[in-house]
Amino acid sequence: MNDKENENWLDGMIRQAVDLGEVEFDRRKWLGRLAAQPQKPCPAGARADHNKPDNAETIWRKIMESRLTKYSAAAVVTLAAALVLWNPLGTTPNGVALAQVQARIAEVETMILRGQATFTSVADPNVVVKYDNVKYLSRQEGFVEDGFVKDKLIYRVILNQRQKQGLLLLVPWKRCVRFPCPEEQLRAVERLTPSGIVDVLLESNAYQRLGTAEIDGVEAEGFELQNLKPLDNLVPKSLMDLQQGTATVWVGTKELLPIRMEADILLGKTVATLFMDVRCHKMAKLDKYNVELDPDLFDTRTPEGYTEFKLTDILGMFSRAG
Amino acid sequence: MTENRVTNLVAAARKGDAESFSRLCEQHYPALVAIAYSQLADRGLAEDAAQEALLVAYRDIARLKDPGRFLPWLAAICRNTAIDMARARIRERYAQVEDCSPVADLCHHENDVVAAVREIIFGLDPEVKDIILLRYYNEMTYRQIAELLGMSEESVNGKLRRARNTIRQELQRRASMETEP
Repeated sequence: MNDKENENWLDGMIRQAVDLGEVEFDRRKWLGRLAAQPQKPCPAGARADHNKPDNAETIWRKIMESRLTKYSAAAVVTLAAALVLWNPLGTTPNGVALAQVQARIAEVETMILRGQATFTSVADPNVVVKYDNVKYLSRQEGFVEDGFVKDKLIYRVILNQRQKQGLLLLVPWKRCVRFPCPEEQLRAVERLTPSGIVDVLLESNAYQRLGTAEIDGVEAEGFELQNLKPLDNLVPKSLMDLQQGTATVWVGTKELLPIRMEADILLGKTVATLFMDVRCHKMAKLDKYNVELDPDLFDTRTPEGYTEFKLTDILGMFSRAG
Repeated sequence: MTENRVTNLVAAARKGDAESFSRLCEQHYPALVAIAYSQLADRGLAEDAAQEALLVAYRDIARLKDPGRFLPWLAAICRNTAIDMARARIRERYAQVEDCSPVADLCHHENDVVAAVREIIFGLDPEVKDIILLRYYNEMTYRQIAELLGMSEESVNGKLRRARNTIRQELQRRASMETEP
């Protein structure tokens, strides 16, 4: 069989594998089930009134994740994400309350998140950048993100909180870029930690509760945030122009920590996207928390064998690389 | 159904118009069954889950902030309803039999390759399973899938392409294992 025949054969196999026959909606039967339901729909707008006792049942919030990207000019970079939730009044016995999650996150000193990011050019969907990443968050030390392509470390971004210093390592090229991390930048980064994002997203109530599910073997409560705009102010627009985005976050019902976060985001043209409109899909899973992180991970000294570059040099390198 | 038409029906349903909501149901029911099936691997249960999801959606539709996001919202409710049912089903099966795979009982009388493909598909991520079902069973376009699942067409395309590669490679791996001495 040639390639085309192979593809057709595979399509046929998949089609057969998922063929469940014709289904048809029985409107009369469904209306009958509806009539048997004890509850009528809530009037529109009811949800906005969280003070009503019957609304004490729920709440939510949500959150999300991260963004990172950067390559280029300052080449690369950034960040990450997390989550949110919320409930001003309380929860049902089975629900996850934002306040509890917030308190729980506040107890966490370190987190390791593992995930993937896929960036697709809006203008040319064939331009796709995909990589795996590992984020290390330390309340004391700062933030580190490693990017991998096919298990090879491509970049490391370090934001050292104590030294107020940032370092970008472009590993294949043995190049690095050093940049200061002023107080404002660190505060922005702090806002991107899970607890910071919870605070930010407390201001947003555009979330949907997704119910419970077993996520990666853990029982979790899901939330969908339909508008990530509240995150837009976290990073200068010149660096990240978040035009729209949605996110889902799953919070472990026992640990009360976000265990999986996913986001679909449309980014406008900035230096971080090499001046392209870009769609980004990011996924992050909580791997470990409250584990000891090697302090050397946050070391912003130039590693042996590396050449220090300026941002303008990096831009030229990317330009030459096409 | 045009976007305006959907928006109008959603608006009417938010005011308690069950008839309008049932028209929305009619249009999207097959896709919801597919999404539920990707979790349950059982058509009967999938139909139950889809209908239950529609009841939940009708009850909660006033909570939908953005009517333009009705489809992804509905899909998420259906998926979670199915997940809850799948969990309950697994718990029941654990109590009854050793093998609780939702797929195992479906494979007995089928062509081996089709059964293998189904097994591989049901081992994929839930979202990817949804996309495969919507593409190959419902024969939806990438755009329709993207609207329903609330993602970009590029994302649908990428996930589907990777899923097909995964299926192909896994089939090849299994075939090579069978031919090994």
